[in-house]
Amino acid sequence: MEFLKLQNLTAAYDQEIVLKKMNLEVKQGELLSLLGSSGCGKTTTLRIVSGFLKQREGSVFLEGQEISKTHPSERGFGYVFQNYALFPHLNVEDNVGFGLKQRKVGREEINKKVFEMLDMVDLAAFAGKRPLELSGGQRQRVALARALAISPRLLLMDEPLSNLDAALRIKMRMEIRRIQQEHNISALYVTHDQEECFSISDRVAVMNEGLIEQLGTPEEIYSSPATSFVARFVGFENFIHGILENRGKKLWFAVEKGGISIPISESSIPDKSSVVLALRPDGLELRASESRKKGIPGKVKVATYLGKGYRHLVETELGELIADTKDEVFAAHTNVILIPNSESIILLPIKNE
Amino acid sequence: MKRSGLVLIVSILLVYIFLIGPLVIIGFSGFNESEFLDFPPKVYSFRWFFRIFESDMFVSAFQTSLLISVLGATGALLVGLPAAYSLSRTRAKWRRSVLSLFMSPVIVPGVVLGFALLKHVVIALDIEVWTGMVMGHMLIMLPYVIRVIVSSLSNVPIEIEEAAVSLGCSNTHAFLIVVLPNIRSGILAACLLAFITSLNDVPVTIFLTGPGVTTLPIQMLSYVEYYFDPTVSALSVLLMLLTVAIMIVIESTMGLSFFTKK
Repeated sequence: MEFLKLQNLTAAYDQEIVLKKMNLEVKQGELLSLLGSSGCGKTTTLRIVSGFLKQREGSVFLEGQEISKTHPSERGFGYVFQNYALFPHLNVEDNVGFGLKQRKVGREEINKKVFEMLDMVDLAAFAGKRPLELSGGQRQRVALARALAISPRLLLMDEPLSNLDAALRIKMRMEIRRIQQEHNISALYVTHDQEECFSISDRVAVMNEGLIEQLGTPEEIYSSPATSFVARFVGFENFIHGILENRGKKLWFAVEKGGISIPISESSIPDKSSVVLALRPDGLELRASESRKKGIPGKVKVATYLGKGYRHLVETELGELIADTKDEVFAAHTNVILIPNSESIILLPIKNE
Repeated sequence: MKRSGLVLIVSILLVYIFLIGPLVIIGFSGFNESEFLDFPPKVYSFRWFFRIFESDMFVSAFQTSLLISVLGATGALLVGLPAAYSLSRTRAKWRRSVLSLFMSPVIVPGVVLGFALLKHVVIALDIEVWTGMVMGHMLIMLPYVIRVIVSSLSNVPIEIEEAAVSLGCSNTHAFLIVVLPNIRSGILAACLLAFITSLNDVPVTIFLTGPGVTTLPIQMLSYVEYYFDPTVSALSVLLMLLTVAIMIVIESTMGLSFFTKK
């Protein structure tokens, strides 16, 4: 049986629907991320699970039990807030021990658990400090320790790292993942950062406009996005509209303009259907136009240095395309040929709007 | 540039003279030995200060004032705290209008408020003098209490309460043990500011006084109608000192900038 189950969740603020009959299941011990840009309904989902927001329709089940009517204080979930929400008038020790104190746990036991938690997040030396005396990363760790001290049945995290600087974010997400796996914690994690999300999750639900666009492991979503929205989210920059054509043995992707055809290895999409071809910038090989290779002709508009290579914005008959090279750079106004790497191509169905 | 700088300095000086001048004159005249109010005094003495405490008139009026202000402040806090809390937590569109509505006793002239209270509440409902007086003072204190507590609550994010609730507190309990400790100084400042306003109020109070119930400022007012000795000046000095002391307490608890913020 699934651990947490969201069934037909619909939510709205005033007239605006932010969640449309959403279904989702989280397994025991799994960290599932809700990934999406702001307004996609990911935080709304988290708030409904926590009980701070009432859904308009649908139910939330925990281990088969309907909990929609349970008060948030009785759900026993740990919640880590984006702004940490530490209690400013209490020191670190009392912040972490807060939940246990509410549960009328004995002093000694609280003390033991608090220091166990503080050791886990490596903050035992700061037990007597007030939140205001701590750095952002330390506050984040206190917030995590506080949420975990009550041994929550489910851990909810709302953009917990977005107020930290880049280096600390990377360190903290490994930390969160380590603690989550070591203690076998079931967790829902909300973020808009694709890289953070992939590095931390067992499974990812990519959300858009109140719906889940795709649910899968980070690897599945990264290598085979199901929709162009998801593709855009995981780094596909080039989208070309065209028709799939079966010319004898080979499958071709044909574009009306300029008579350009691109060979396709295989596809389950039926012949003659309209599709979108998506490519990451490194899936387009750049060659000088003198090379006489078959491909999409174009002219470099601008080239920028990325550190690991160069990125080119190329004007072609199919619109502007983005192509990366490792060490060769083509200056602006150079005529080039773009050769799609058939291994990197993915084909996406055109969404019926 | 230089010219405008000069104009600025002169106008600032004028403002200060008009603001502080009367206080200085009153202050000096309170220490006058003579039977009459004049400035500057020829001989200085504390005799009028002793005089204040000799006459029962001022002492009992001050006691009445204190009692009214304390009761009114308590009432204003009991109404104002829940009001301020819900105003700061709601995202409703009417938030701003209600906030302005609570400010209206500050905007409506005291005389109008006092007269309206007398005619349409105290007389119309045949309310006892004491009750009417405390109610009136509660009303003039309420805007200050709400404003100050609302701005104090704006520093306590709602997530803090939610954190407490997620850790097992009921909503009320979360308010009591998480919100209240963090707005303590705001509440103190709100009460003190309201207290000063109430203690110094004349326009509303004058309509609500009755037999045996009079506040210190009203007593002072009626005193100067008959006597012209420096007692009232000396009393004013004491009241100014009290106000300054309270302001110092407010400044040291949460800073006066709290009252200028929106």
